[in-house]
Amino acid sequence: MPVEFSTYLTLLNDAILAESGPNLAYLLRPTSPHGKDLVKEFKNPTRAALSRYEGSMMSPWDEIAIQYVLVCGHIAKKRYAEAFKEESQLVSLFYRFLPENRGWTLPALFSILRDLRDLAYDADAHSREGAQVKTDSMEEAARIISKAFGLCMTDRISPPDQSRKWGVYYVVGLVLKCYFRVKRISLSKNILRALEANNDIPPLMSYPRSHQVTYRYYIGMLSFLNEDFVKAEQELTLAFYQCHNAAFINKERILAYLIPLRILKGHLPSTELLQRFPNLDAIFTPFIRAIRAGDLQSYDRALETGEQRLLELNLWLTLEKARELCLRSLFRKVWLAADKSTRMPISMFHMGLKIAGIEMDVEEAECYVANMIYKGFIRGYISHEKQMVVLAQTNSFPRVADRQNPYALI
Amino acid sequence: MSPVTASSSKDAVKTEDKATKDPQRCLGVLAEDDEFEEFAAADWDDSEMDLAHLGGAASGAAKSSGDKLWEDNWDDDDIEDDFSVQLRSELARTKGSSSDAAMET
Repeated sequence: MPVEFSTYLTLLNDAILAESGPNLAYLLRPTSPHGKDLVKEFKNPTRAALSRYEGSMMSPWDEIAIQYVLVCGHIAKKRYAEAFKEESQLVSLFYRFLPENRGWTLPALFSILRDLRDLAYDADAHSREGAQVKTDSMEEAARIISKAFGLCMTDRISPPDQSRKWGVYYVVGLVLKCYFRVKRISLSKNILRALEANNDIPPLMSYPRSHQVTYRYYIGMLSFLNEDFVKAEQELTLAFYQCHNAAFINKERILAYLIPLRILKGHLPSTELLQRFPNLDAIFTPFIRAIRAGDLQSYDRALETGEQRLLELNLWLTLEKARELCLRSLFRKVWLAADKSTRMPISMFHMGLKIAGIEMDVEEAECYVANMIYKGFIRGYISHEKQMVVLAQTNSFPRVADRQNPYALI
Repeated sequence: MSPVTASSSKDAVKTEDKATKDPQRCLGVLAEDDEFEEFAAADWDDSEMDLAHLGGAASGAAKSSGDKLWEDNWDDDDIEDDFSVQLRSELARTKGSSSDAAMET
């Protein structure tokens, strides 16, 4: 039986009285079945046509119900920009309801904000000017969603377990998603600063795991893109290990950035790990194989082949930085060929490079060795006069994973 | 819950043939959808994540400290590969000729 508007109002009222966030979310979702019913009832709903329903429910719910019908109407007619605009208005009205109410509202809040983002995406996607993708709606969505952050933070009335503060990290996650989507991640600064400034909320670890993992993923990515590799590795590690095992795509996405970070630290992904993620196996194995074998030519070939796509994913630079692990393996093989001698002429390393297909002057080879020593891959010193590398008696080639502060030396 | 029309491109990517594990294609699969997905559930048990299988190992650890997902001991002393064999023969050759040279002076 199709849901009529008057019934819809009753259902809304019931959900509010019962303080049922999930029911309210369902009722406000444009894709819910009653959305179609209401559009049919009003045929071409306009605010004017619906204005007679104002006052039929306590404010702002009368207006919210009207907004809902308008949104559904626009979606049905594929008028995405208008749908987004009306949903923005719906959200603003909901914000008027929020301050007087506790955390039970959060499922509904999350839901309408997700709807807002989806409609922003559609509005932008359908308003392209030629090849130029627009981002206005998504940016506007970020602005609107940011207001929810404040409304969640400033809950002074609810008992702790029912506080709106439990929505904070989820909302921040949505805002960060918006900024990443429009490729303006620097805009994240403000909300993150506000988050850090406030110690009135429970610690991140107390929040639902989905909120934690999403948040950590985006903080990890922000750190990664800002070349704060220490923080990036910390956050992405936590995100990966706490991510639900069934959320495969998300795990894969986290790993795509965690793997190169771990490689730089001297942790190569095990076969066990790579077998679980065939796409990542295909991408990274050429590099890993080259590192193990000290095969610089293969490594360089892998960098060249994957250049375009790796650049798009912001992975190319990091893998380029990891090239020195391959060089280290090469030099270690030279050391093995010299029976682990503690005195090795530069010319030996030079020859090793030559055989590996890398032509250069002896001076350049000496530079490479000097760099290896500087970065802690080789323990020893160079006697430039004697053109000799004097290696430490023990642990001449320390395990890469044992280097202190690997990211500081990049 | 999915966007009204937005997911059509995402669905197309997912049903794409992933049988050919060509690195280029794999990179494409990752790039297409640049957003972290909504989780099916808000929260989950310890048993449902990789953290559970770390045992007592610290986060950030590798195989030598109990985390099987990462190798930190991958140096080997194998000298039978082509490169090492070639290098050893080159070194032997030049050592031979340089000691001859030394003897001459």
